[in-house]
Amino acid sequence: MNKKKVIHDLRCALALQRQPEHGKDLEKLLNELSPSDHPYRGANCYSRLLDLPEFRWPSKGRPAALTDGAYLFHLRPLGGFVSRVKIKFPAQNPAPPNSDPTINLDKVRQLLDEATLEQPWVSLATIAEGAYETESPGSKPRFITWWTDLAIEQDDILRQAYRIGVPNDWLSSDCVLLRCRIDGRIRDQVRIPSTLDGFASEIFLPSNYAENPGSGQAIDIGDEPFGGGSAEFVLGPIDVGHITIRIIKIPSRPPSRHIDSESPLFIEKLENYYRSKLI
Amino acid sequence: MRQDSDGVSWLLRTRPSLKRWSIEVREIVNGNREGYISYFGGAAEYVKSLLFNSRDTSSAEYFFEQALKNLTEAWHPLANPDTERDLRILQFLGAYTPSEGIGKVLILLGSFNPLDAKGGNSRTRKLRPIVLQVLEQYFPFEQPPPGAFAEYVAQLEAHLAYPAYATYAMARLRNLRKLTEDSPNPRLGVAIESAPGILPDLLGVLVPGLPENKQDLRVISAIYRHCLRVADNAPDLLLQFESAAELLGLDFVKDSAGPFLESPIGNWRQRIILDVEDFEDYYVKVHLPIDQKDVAEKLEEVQEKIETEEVPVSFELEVAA
Repeated sequence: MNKKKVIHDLRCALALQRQPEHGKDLEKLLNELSPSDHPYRGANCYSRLLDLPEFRWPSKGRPAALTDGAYLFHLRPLGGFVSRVKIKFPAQNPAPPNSDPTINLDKVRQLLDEATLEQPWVSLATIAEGAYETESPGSKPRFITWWTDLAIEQDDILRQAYRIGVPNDWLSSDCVLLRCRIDGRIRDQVRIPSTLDGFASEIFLPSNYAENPGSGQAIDIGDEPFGGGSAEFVLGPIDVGHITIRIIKIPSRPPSRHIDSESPLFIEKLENYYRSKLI
Repeated sequence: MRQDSDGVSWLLRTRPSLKRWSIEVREIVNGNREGYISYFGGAAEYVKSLLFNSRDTSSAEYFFEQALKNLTEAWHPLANPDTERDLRILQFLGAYTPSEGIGKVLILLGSFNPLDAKGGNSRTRKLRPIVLQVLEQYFPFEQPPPGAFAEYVAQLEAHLAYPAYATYAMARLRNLRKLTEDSPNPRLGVAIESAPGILPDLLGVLVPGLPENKQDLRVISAIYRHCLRVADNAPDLLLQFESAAELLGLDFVKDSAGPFLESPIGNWRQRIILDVEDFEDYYVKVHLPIDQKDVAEKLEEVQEKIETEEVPVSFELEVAA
C-alpha cells in the first residue's frame, strides 16, 4: 500500500480516538477521497476539498488558552504569503488590477526590504491591506492560518522550523515570519487545531480533547525519534493591522542534514510516531 | 499515464532528470499539483522551492530550464485556449522569462478582445493583467529584442485609453522613459473623460517626480490642458483635476499667469505649462470669470467714487497687464 495512504489511515484512527466530536465533519471530507487516495500535498483531491466549507474554513475546534499580550508566530514561504494578501504597491510603480502579486515578487521583496530597513518588524498594514488569507487570481486559499507561540528567530531558523513540524521542502529561500499580538479582539478566535484543520497535512497530530489541552502540539521532526514540538493554534483571516512582519532567509543545508517530508526515511519515522500514539 | 505525485518531488530533489522535470512541469500546468501551488502561492514558487531544496541544484536547474523551454515552444495559447493552464504557464514565464515565450505573450495580449465597460470576456479579464505583469518581467527596462520592445510599448500606449489600466500603463511607460507629453492625447484623454476618478492615481504616478523631473511636469501639464480643452463638454474635469492634486496633498493655485502646483510646505512650486491657445482657454474658462466679478466690484467702486468725489478715475483689467 502507498505509504502516505498508511499515514492517512493512521491519522484518521487517531482523529476518531482523540477528537471524536469532529467525526461527522471528518466523514464529509473523507467522502471526497477515493478509497486509495490521501489528502496530502500532491494529491489530486485538493480543489474538490476546497469546495467544502468544513475544509476551507477553520473548524469549530475548542478555544485555545492564551493570555492577552502573548505573541503568536507564523512562518511561510514568501510566495505563499504574497498570494494571500492584497499588496499596496507604491503610486509610481503600481500593479495592474486583479494581478497576481507572486509574478512581481521582486517588487514585493523590495517593498519589504525598504520597510524593514531600520527595524526588523514592521506592521503588515504598511505594505498590505485587508485581511491575511484573502483570495488572489493565482491561487485559491484555505482561510486558515497556523500559528505557534515559539518565538521564532532568524538564528538557527531550521531547528525552529523543525520544532513546529516544518521540513525543509516546505520552505523556500525567502520566507516571511508573521507575528500577531493576542488581545481581546483576537483571543476568542484562536482555536486548538482540529483534525479537520490538519486534514491536508501529513505532519499533524490531533490533540487529545480528553486531556483538556490549551493548545495543539506540533510534532518536532528534528527529534530522534519524533517528539512533541511547540504549541500550535489556528486562526481564520486576520486584519493586516494586527500583524507585524519580517523577512527570514532560509540557509541551504548539507543534504545529510536535510529533512525532506517525501523521503522514505521520513515517512517511516512519521508512521512509527503515529503508531506510538495509537491506544 | 499521469505521473503519480507521491515521491516525485523527492525524486526531483534527489535524482533529477530531463524526463522527470518535463513530466512534472506538465503536471503542474495541467492542474495536478494544486496542493503544492496553493501552499507556495504559484507554479513558479513551487518550482523555486524544489530547486532550492535540491541535492544538486545546478543539474536540477538545467533540466527544469530545458523542460520549460520545450513546454513554451509547444505552447499555442491562441490555438488551444485553456485559461487555467495558460495562467500557470504565464506564472512560469513571469518568473523565468525564457526567450521562447516573449513573442507568444505579446501575441496573446494583442489577441484579447477590445476592452469594454466590463473589461472583455472572462478569459480576457483573467489573463490580461497577468500578461501585462509577465511582460513587465521581460522588460523591466528597454532591452532587446527591439521589435518586441516596440510592440510592448505600443500595447502599453493602447492601454492608456482604458480607465482600469491607464494608470498602470502610464506608470510603465514612464519607468521605461517612453512617456511623452503627447502620450495623454488622445488615448489617456478618453480614459479621463470616461472615468475622471482615475485622475488622483494618474497624478500620483507623476507628482513624486515633480521637483526634479521636467518630463513629469510636461505630462501633468498635458493632462491639465486636455481637461481645459474639453471643459465645454465636461466642465467638472477641471474641478476633478484640482481635487486630485489636493488629494495628493498639493496646493493647486490659479493666478493670472496660469495655474501652478505647490508643495504644502512650500519647498517647491511648478507652474503648469500652457501654450498660447490653452492660455486663452484658461482665461476664458477658469480665470476670467473670477476677474469679471472683480471687474464688476471695481465698477461699483468707481461708480460710488464718481458719485461722491466727482473726480475721474481709471482702472486696468488684469489681463492686459
